[in-house]
Amino acid sequence: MEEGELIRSAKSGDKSAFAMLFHQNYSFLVKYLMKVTMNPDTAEELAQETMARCIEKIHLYQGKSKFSSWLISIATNLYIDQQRKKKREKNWQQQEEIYRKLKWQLESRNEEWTDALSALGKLADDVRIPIILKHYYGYSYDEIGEMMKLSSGTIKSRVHNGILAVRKELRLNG
Amino acid sequence: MDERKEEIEKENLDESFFTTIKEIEVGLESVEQYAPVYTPNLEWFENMVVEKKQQLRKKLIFDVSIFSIVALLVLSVVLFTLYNIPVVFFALQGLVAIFIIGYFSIRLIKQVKET
Repeated sequence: MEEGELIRSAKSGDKSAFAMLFHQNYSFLVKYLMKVTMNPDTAEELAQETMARCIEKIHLYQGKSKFSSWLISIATNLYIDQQRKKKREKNWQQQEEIYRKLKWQLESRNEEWTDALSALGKLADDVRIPIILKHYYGYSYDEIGEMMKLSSGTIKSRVHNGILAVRKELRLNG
Repeated sequence: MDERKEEIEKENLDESFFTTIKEIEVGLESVEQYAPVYTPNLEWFENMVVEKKQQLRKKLIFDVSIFSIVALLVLSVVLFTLYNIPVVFFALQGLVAIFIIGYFSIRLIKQVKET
């Protein structure tokens, strides 16, 4: 069944259509959240919350963007809200603790944890997310602005400043 | 001479900017390729959907019940005061009207001051 058809069925309450949509997009969603949160456990928890929110809000999905983009948008806002509630201090030690598991997972597969990932991990969430969406997923500034409910100008400057910060960090380490 | 120097600096900046982006991409690609993700089977997703829908239905019933109870309470108080103590009823009407006018006036003044 095609995605459009699945969405129509899901909107009419078909649980199998929902299940197929989630099954198809789960890995994509979790991997996106891993890059954003840098924490596999948080990524999985957020993916489940995202799916729950999707069931609740499916009637609002207009089909203007791809379903996976809509999921990313929900997940991003859930994560930002969660972080805002926590209001925790962005402490480097803490952040290192957070991405230790992901680092270990990559290293156990003989994959190097790069300095760029460490530098990315040090950035604030609202800077890291637009960089990932722009330079890994290829979304435009307008699309990211729509997802994060910010102007495209703000997104552009956050991406630019974020990359400058990463560059500085890499130079310090290099 | 200065212009040439500036140009070279700009070129270096562009290049290091591009290199940084490339390094970020490589790092993120390694997460994409090598971070293990276990996707549960379809049945698990179906159960999750059913469970979530049940929760939503329960929440809806709870919200509607609370709304109805509060609405009935407010209506009872209004009707009671109207038929038994009309003075209180009209005083309440007056107070609510003053409150609404005051609230919107203050908001309007604030908006005008901000612009």
